[in-house]
Amino acid sequence: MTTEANNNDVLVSYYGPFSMRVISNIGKYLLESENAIELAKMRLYRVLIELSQNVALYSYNRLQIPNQSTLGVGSVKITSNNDHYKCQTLNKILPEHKDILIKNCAEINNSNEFELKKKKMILRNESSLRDNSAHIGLITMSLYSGNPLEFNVLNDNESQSHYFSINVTINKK
Amino acid sequence: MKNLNINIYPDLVFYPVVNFDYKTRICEISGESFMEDTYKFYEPIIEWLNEYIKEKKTIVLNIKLTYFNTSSSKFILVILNTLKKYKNDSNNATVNWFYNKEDIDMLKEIVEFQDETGLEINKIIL
Repeated sequence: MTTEANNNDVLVSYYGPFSMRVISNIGKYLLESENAIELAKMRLYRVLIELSQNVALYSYNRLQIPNQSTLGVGSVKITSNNDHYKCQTLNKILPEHKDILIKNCAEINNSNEFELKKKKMILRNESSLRDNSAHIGLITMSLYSGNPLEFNVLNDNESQSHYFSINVTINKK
Repeated sequence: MKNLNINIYPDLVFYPVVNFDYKTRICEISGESFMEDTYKFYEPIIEWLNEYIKEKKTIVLNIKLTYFNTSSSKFILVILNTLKKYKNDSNNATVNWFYNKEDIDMLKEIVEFQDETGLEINKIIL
């Protein structure tokens, strides 16, 4: 984990395996060090955890942990200004996941709160208990944020790799 | 039937503390819940609850979670649905959910669970 001075608004920047031990420490650091209202800090914390769990579960770049399953590798950056926090993750994805991610994010951005809650309920009920994901992380982040999800798929032509970037804005007021 | 006490990871904030007390009939889950393997953590809790309700005794569930991830929410839903069915079968079940006054997102989550399950949840400000 690296922290930088406030003048460029980067609170935290991390690249590596998305273990919950690491991410929860980043989250606690933000809760303790930031001066925003409690609700804004909690939203930032929750968005950080959900975004990070998506990287941990779905990043195509994976690290084998001894005696455990694999962990997704990616990056997270948290920035701040007077009005809002931004939490951004970036991770490698399989080419076949590109279109579905774009479609899901676009659908979320085009839905109102009622529609998102309904979709959340349906997807959660469809999800198997043995599945470590409920497939409602993006919807939940959108509900916490109240702002459109900013997303992008980046192509690295040299390595033929695709990267998914998502940026969630949390208002401070 | 034994009590169910889970506090095996006190240094890891992403595991909640669980105290399901057979004698007092008070079951409590507190802290945060965003572990990597939710099924492994919640399976014994669901099993304990399913055994307990066979005895048709009163149960009080106190939820004091300050955060749970979307994966954990699936298991909270299972617990609440189980208690709703238990109540519908003329048994006594009370659910109290404690939350911080400023945390309107948690209140929204509680209301969503209530609407989805049809189970009355007492919303108590900490």
